[in-house]
Amino acid sequence: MHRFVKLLLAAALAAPLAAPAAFAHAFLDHAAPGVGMTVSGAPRELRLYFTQGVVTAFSHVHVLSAAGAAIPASKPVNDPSDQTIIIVRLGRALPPGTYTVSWHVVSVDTHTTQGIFSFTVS
Amino acid sequence: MSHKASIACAGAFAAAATLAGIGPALAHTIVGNRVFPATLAIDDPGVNDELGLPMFTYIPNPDNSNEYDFNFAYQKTITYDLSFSVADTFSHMTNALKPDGSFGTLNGWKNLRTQLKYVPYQNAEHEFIVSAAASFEWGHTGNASVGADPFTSITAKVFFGKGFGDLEAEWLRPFAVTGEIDYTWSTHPIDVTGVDPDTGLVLIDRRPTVLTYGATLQYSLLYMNSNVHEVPEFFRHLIPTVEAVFSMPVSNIGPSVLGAVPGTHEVTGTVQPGVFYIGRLGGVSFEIGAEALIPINRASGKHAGAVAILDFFLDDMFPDSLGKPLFGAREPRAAAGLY
Repeated sequence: MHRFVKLLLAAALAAPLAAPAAFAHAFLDHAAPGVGMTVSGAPRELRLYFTQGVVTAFSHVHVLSAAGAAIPASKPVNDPSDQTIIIVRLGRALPPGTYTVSWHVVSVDTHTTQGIFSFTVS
Repeated sequence: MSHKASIACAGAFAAAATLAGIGPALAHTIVGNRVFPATLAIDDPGVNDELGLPMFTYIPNPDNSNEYDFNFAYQKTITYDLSFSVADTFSHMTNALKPDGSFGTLNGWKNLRTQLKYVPYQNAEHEFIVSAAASFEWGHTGNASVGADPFTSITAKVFFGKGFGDLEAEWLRPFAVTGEIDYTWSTHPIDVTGVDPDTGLVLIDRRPTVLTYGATLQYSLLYMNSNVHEVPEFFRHLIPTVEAVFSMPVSNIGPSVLGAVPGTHEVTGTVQPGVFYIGRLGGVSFEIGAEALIPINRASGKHAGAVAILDFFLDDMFPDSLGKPLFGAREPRAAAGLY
């Protein structure tokens, strides 16, 4: 029994040393425009900041108007300097209104996460 | 053990079951957009690869002893919906009744516990999950002086979790509830310990069958930040939670004993308000949680205690080795080939 606990302790102490740098579920940390926020102006792109690196080839982001109409947008791409950020360029500047963003991403370790949020353009 | 003491054990068994928690509470669970943290009074409803190292509990016992427990637990997924876990607790007790009849300090391991847990159903869209487990506390693997039983006990468990992200009202979406119901019985429910020299009556030691039930109410700022409204950096890692767990002997109890604490048929339990922090430091994914441990009556504890946990998420830290199931894909959607 005591040997078993010693093994657990050793594993825990070794864990921070052996862990890779960027593996985990990718949760949305924040976004621009922000989750639930009201922005002025007409945004031309969405930026989603995740807690982990995201593989854009297996990820999707959709933007809908308040009426449920799909807003034309590019496929998500990573920020060249940071794999935790994905960028979606909008096909047109968004007029005032409330928009819903639904995202589904696959992190670099293949965990999938998803979510929905809205923002308002004043 | 005297007849009166034997009967009082029924209540004590229930109290101990409650205060020690009702299982190896160690796994966090992700269902759809919802993260259910590893809770402390009851186990969360999912299976995962996780190392609980340790969970610390301070319990002021009804008999005026103070108990400090260090719970170690490891859970390993066999498939994405089936896990095996092993746990044990080192107990340090002060002002405790020793075997020689004096009061002093006691140290020792409690019995080894193992558990097999299965998730038959989960619904990502509605953040709903149900699971069941069979748990064994192995007799004679711990130190009797700190309460380790010489006989094995078996517990059948049912769990559920529900996040309210599918509600219309935005302010309600961060809420979630989880629950657990346990039914515990001993493999040695009645033991004849001797004959009373005064009365000639047979002395019986009973280990009652115990029903334990608990629930948590969570308000996830983690969820709020990602899905409803951004919150400041520190707060977006927090999940304020209130837990409650109750335990009662239901059979093989024996007659009531006047003045016994805990009472022979008494319900014991705790209410545990607290908060969890889920974060990362370098490559280490972890959870820190702390709760007050408030006894619901005198039989459940002399006064408030505390419980805290440091938990490592192995599925995040070692996704290609320790953190993945032994067999099959990691997640059901991967198995379905949806990405």
